[in-house]
Amino acid sequence: MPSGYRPDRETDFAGFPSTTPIVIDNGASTFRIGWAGEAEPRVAFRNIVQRPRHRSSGETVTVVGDTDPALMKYFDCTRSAIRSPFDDDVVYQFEYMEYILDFGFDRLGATSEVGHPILMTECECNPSFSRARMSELLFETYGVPSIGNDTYLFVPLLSIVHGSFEVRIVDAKDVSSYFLKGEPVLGACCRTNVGGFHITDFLRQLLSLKYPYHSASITWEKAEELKKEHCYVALDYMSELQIFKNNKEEAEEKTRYWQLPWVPPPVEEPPSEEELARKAALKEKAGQRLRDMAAAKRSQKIAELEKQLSYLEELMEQLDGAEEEEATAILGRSGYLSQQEIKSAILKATQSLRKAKGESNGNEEKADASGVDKYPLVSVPDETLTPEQLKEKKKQILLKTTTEGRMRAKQRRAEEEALREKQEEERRLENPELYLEELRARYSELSDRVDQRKRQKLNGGKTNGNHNSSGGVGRGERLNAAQKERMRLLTSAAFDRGKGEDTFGTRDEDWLVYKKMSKDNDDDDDGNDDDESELARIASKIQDMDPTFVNKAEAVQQTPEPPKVRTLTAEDYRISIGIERFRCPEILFQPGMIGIDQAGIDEMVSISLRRLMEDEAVKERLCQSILVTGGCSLIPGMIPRLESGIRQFRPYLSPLKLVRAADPLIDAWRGAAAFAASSKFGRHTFSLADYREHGENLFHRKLKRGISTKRGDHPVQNGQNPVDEWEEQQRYWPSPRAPPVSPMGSPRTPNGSQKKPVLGKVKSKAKKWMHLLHHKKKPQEDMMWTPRAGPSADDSKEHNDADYGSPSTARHPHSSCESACAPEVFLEASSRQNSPLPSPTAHKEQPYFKVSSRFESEMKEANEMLRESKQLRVNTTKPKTVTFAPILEQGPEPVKNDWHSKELSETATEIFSHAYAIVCEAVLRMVSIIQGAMSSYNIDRRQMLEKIVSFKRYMMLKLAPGEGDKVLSEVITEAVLDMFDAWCENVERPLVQRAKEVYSWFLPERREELPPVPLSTHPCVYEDAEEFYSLEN
Amino acid sequence: MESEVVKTEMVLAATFPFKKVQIADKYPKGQSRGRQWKHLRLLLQAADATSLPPDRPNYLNIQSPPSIYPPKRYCDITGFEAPYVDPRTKLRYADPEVFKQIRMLPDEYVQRYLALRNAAVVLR
Repeated sequence: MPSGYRPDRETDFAGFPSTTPIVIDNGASTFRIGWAGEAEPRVAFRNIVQRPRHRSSGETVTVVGDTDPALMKYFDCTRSAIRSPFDDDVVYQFEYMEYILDFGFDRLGATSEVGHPILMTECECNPSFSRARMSELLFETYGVPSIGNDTYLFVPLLSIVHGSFEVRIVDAKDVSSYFLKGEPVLGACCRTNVGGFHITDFLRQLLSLKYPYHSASITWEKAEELKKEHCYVALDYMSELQIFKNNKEEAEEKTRYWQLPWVPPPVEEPPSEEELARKAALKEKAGQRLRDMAAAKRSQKIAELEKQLSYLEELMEQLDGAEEEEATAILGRSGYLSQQEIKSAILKATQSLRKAKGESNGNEEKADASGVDKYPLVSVPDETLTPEQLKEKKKQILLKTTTEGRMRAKQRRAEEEALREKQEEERRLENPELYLEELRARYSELSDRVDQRKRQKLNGGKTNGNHNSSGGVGRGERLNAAQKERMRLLTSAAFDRGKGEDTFGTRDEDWLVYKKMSKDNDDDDDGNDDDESELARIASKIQDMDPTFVNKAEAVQQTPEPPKVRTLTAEDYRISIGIERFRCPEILFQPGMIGIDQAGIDEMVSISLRRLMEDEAVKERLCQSILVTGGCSLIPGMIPRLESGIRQFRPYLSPLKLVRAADPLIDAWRGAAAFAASSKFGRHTFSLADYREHGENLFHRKLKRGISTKRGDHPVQNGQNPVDEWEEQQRYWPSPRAPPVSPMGSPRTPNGSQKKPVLGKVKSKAKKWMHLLHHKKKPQEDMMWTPRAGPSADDSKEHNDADYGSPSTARHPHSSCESACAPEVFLEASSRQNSPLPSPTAHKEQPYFKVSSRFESEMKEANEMLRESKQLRVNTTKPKTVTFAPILEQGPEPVKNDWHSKELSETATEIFSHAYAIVCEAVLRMVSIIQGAMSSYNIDRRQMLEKIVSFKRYMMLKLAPGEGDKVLSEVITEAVLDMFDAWCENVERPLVQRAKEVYSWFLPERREELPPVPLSTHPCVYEDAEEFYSLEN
Repeated sequence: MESEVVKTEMVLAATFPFKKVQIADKYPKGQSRGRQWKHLRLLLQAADATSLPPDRPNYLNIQSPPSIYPPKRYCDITGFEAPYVDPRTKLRYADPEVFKQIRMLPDEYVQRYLALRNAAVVLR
């Protein structure tokens, strides 16, 4: 899909019957909408919303999907980012979702209403709030008649397309990666929050950090494009890194370059000869004209002056020769007052004439000559002078003395200088090294001082590059020292006024403040000048003696010169993508690279396989058809890398086959469309009526029971309702009692369990106690647990637990159950029964420790063990545990109550023997499991025993049990030790064989046939203990 | 609206005939309505994962656990394997050349590099 692509509106919306579902693949990156049964989605666009402001009208508009960048100039996008309704892979922003749905339905051609069922994909295990809000939106805003429920569980639905149970999907989707098995096993899902989005983002960030000048050109869209075009997955990441580190040529070969648009700057050609000549001629001509003009002006002036001079001379002649009266008349005519005046005018004219003619006017000699009579009045006695002249004389005297003083000082300084020079010369000759050293010290001292002063003036200057962004940048920081001082003065002046008596101005110095305050008062360099000149002098001296010396001042002078601006070349506009090509996709395999602490996709396969509690044969079968789909599976090299990654987790030489989906991008949509077109779809929807009845509670687990009990009057389609669908899922979620591999026939086989009805009864009791114990572990309920709870008191809990207790496989179909809650439990449990026979009762077992999907089968095993050894404890360990005294007292009571109603003929002995049989079974299983592992390593029995104990400790540690459980585990240890003691006496017998006998002896059917087994057991304190003991021996 | 904008229909219409509730009625204009949504993290917290039965798959417990492999350290700048960490900037680096480069980096860039692997110091 090219960027800026806008989908057209479909026209045939009205042509579809209202039963045809609309299929929406609501992917985090792309939204695809189309009709069920078709091969391609009708409309697809990027799942994004922008809300820019229209420039001319100023209104906020909504733009969905990709846009043509050329048209975005009409919009002001500065305040609106591109937004997605998704957080990771969950829809959380339903306003944006609504815009997107609006656009999608509009493009599909919806006119009056969206009257079609909707099938919409979502992520695995979508949280219920997101699911509820989405259906609220679809039902209430769009009036959708029904929503496909099934896809509320899965994204790709490829199982339907491929029709095979074995399909396993590695969905490298845009945000997350998943694992599903064809018939989806939610329990075996695995998700890592890394996907194509992260790859693109990583690439964009890396490039814009590498090329900060071009970060504006490295947009999201461009990064996406680069990713699709150039990224690949390295088969071996480390060796690929080595190539790039050591092998330059190969790395160069693998590096791609992206040339940004670059226009070379216009090159200036050197001007040709003619050009130069022409320019010179032009210049010459202009110069000539100016010169001519100046010459003309001067000659004109000269002529004028000459004319005036001749006139004046003539006038003088006339005056010389004329009588008194005649002279006055001439003067009156000429405008001069006296002959003297005319004379001075003549002098002036002569001088200017001479100047105009370019002759030297002899001012220098005059100045020199006037040096003496500069102060003509000084030597004249006071009596002869007028008052004005006296004043003048005073002034002249002052001037004269100051000049003379200055001259004297100058002379004295020169003398001093000479003297010092001489002394230094002497010192130098005396000890040149010492002298040089001294000079250097002085130089550095002086230069430091000068530097400091400069810095103060410039306010500290620049710190080094690493820290220039740190520290405050307030107003104070920007002022230099002089400006700061000025501010200080101003503020103090402002605040001092009015404080006490105002004495400002009484002293002359006060007024100096104004001078300091004046703005251009930066020239306080007086002292500095001295220092600088001294510095220069010393520097020159040192340079004389030591030619290698570099004058710091000069060196500093050179650096501030701006470096010559290098003209930018095409190279600078070229973005190289080398290591990034495989570094970015690598985050799928090592999410730790971007700080996500989760397993990579290859490891996830092994986790999924582990969570899928099937035996090895099934896993092997699954591994032969692993389907890889999703956008990221298109990255070259993905399949081989994934294959090699998965192989590491599989047994040696086990078969493995990966297939990439034919079209990973729209496979999910196709799967959904095919599913929506199939007849199954009707059963997997829930309708507007359901929604109206239950509201969004339909999606919250808490009310599930309420719905399911109402099932009778609930409108159901084909006997299914959404909740049942959910229940149905649970069948595929393996029970905590997943079958461990046992070497011998255990009561798990239908045979064993059916021939032991009493065993079932004991187990049902045990279940109840375990249940109580379990509740004790929950802090919120029954903190102070007392075992007074009998079956009747327990009903409510039993009842509740039926809802979120783990579904159990029908291992003990004939277990008895409390009559009070039987119908309820039956209703709940029957849907989960795997047993082909409809059983009258079903019993629920609360797992001893809640089995999270984190812990695997060993945890289940632990539950098993603990559960059964609990019965042992109840029956055998009264003297040992004070803590459990209440249980022991209370324990048999419910049992007796039950007997009362069911089988009064049963004796306690039988119960105990069965209980012991269970312990034996448990221990045997432990032995067989551990021995199976140990025998190949040739470990002796002692070690094996230790292993069992440590295995138990490990479980204790892992499961963090309460106080009661610890005691319980001690009982197990005790039992294990006893068993081993017994076995140690007859070492010649094979261990398992012996144990088998021990076990089988307790089965009543074969009791007669087998000899009694000498076993040391705990002494029993019950009334039947004697009998029990005698039976044993 | 400019004619070419109208022609491409890039702006979403205010009302659609197929909707029961128009967006303008749902989110009235000019009325500050604050933030209507929460981030996924908060939503998941609100959903109270502890109340869900742990043996059923839900959004949180199908997440993959941390990798069993020891995490590899890569140079933040070049992407090569990084044996060293700069104690000042906390950036990982592959060789002395990169170290020089790191020390020349402005603080902002250091933080951006750290943010790439979710190790940046976020000041609030």
